[in-house]
Amino acid sequence: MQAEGYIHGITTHSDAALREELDIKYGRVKRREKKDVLGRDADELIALQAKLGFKRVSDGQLLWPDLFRPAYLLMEGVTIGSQTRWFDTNGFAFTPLLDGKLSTRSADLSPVLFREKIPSSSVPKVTLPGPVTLAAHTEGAEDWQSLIPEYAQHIALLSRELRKHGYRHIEYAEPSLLLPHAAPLAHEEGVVEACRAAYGHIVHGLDATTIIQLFFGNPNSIPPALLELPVSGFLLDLVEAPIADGTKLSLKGKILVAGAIDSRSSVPEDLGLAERRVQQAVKALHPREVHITTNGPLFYTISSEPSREKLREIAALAAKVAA
Amino acid sequence: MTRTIEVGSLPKLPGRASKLAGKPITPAEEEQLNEVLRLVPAQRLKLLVKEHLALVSKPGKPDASERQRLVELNSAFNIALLEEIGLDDVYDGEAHRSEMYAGIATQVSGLKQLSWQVSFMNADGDPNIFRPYMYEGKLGLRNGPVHDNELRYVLSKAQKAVKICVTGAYTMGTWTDPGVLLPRYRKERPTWTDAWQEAQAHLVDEFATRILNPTVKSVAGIQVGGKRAARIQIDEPNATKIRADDERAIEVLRKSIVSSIRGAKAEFGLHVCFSHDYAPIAKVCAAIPEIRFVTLEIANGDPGDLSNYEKALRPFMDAGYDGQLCIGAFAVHSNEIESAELIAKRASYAAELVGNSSRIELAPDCGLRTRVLPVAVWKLQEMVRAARLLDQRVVLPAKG
Repeated sequence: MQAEGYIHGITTHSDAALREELDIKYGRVKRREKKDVLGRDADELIALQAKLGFKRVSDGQLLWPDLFRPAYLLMEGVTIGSQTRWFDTNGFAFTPLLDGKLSTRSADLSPVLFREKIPSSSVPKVTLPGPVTLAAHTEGAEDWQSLIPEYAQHIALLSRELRKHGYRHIEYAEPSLLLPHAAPLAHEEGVVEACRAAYGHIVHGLDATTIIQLFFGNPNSIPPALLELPVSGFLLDLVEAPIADGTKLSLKGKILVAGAIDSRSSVPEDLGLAERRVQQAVKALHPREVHITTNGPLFYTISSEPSREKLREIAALAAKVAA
Repeated sequence: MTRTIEVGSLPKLPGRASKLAGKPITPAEEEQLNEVLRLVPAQRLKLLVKEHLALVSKPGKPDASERQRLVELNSAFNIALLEEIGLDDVYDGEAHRSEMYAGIATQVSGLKQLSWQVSFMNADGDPNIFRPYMYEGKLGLRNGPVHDNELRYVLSKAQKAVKICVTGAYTMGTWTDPGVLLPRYRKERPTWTDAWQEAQAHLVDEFATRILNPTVKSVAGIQVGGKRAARIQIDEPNATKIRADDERAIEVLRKSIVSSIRGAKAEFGLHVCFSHDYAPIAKVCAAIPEIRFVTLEIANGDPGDLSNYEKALRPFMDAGYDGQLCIGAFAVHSNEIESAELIAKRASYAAELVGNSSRIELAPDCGLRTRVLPVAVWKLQEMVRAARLLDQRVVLPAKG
């Protein structure tokens, strides 16, 4: 089976860029040079992806301060909230704080993407926060589920605008659907139905590959109905656990994005184990295509140098699976 | 008397970083020093600043003895500064340490330093970064207990009670990449999360027994001129990642503290910050009778109705913790100066809530290293002034 590798989403900056960013932070270099610094970093990251044979290429979303802010700061009715732990990691994001009725002010993410740097021969790829995860992280909401349609409306507009800019592969990060571990949100009453409506709206008429990322949670806890949502495929966290024997889950006709490389550990991956898990998932879930990536973004969870090593491991695993 | 304490770090003395980089002190740094002397016009501070300025004004990078003197001057200055401001418990603003994690990790064998990692991007989109270490094998102390020399220096300079802070085993263990431990536990455990938690518990235990315990026992035993550290504060900022329903992690934290202080005699305390829910911490404090004080970040995000104070303190009362509550009297992540009157009101409310004003002490939310020195000084001055208002009972009703 063919398998291609690519970057999960928002990616950590190189050591060199981080050093320069500190100079900017402490006023030793002018702030306007930041985009140049990160532009050079994006050039290197894109060149590395080309070298590794990635067809779907991302700029690493290096201009994104976290997964949430660029998306929700284009909305009315919400402002920057408090610093919140990025799940069970040592990273923090600034989550949205509700201060009015949600609506889209702008859908243009181009100022925080280096779209022009992605070669025309590649498929530009980007990851957005999913509406459920945004809603679940919103402070000040009395009924978080009621925000899902409003965020979905916004994410749909962002997706259309991104498509206009040539992004043909859009992923939606939904770690909240499988967390917290004791009681995944996807099991709460009404959530799968809310997802069906939300993603039905997001992908309607959108000519792009669309993937829902389900990570940092056990794939065996996914309600089977969730995998029937009208998207091209799903990212499953195969680092967390292998797909159980006799699973009721199915990805027939869809893409399996195997989150099979560990985004939270710097030790070299056991590629034999990862390959077995991917093959097992393919056998159990019957996807039409397999893509390989990390089980989470290479951002808060890993240092800069090991993060680049993880990209090499993605390529190596994709080659093993394809062989 | 309402007791006032510091929590840990202060910004490095202006000019120190420039000198280490071989650059001259900047006019802005000199102005910061002058501003501090205007705020606290004590003769002993002026003398220390004079020597510091002479050292940092010399061209070129410092040699080894000059580097040592820079640290000592910074340490002596911070101790004197905190004493002159009027705090009851003092230390040296961690002048001997680079930061709380590296201050210990650099002294530990069995670890490998990794490249930069982002912990968050701030509101301006600028990175907050650190260099984590990765576990490679059995941990050990490279050169003996970690803080002995700095404590001896501080005890030789301090006139008031000394409270040393030590980064705790839970935070050290959970900020460190478990490295080879993870694949080992993945072979035994059904999920990555199980394996990760086991690997972290292993690492926390090694830090507690092999690094923290010898360090804590040693600092508890150090005497200079008949004087000892009156208090030992264990800093566990990462303990607030523990969810209230995560009994396993709560037990890992409790056990790590017990192992860290075993065999040491002192008044122990715990500092935690960045929490939305102090219930797990309260449970641990109540379960360890040796924990006699706790310092908590509370002012950060206070909506102005004192609800943060109730939210933070109530779990300690519910858990049956009976030690001192050093409330975060002011926020450390902004330059806004919260007035003495506001701080006193917060303390007064806390005392009402606990039903015993003698259990309430005033502390910053956390270390002050992210502020410029004049702002840190001004904030601390307001806190001390609040203590005096409380002592004189010149406090507005807590609510309203």
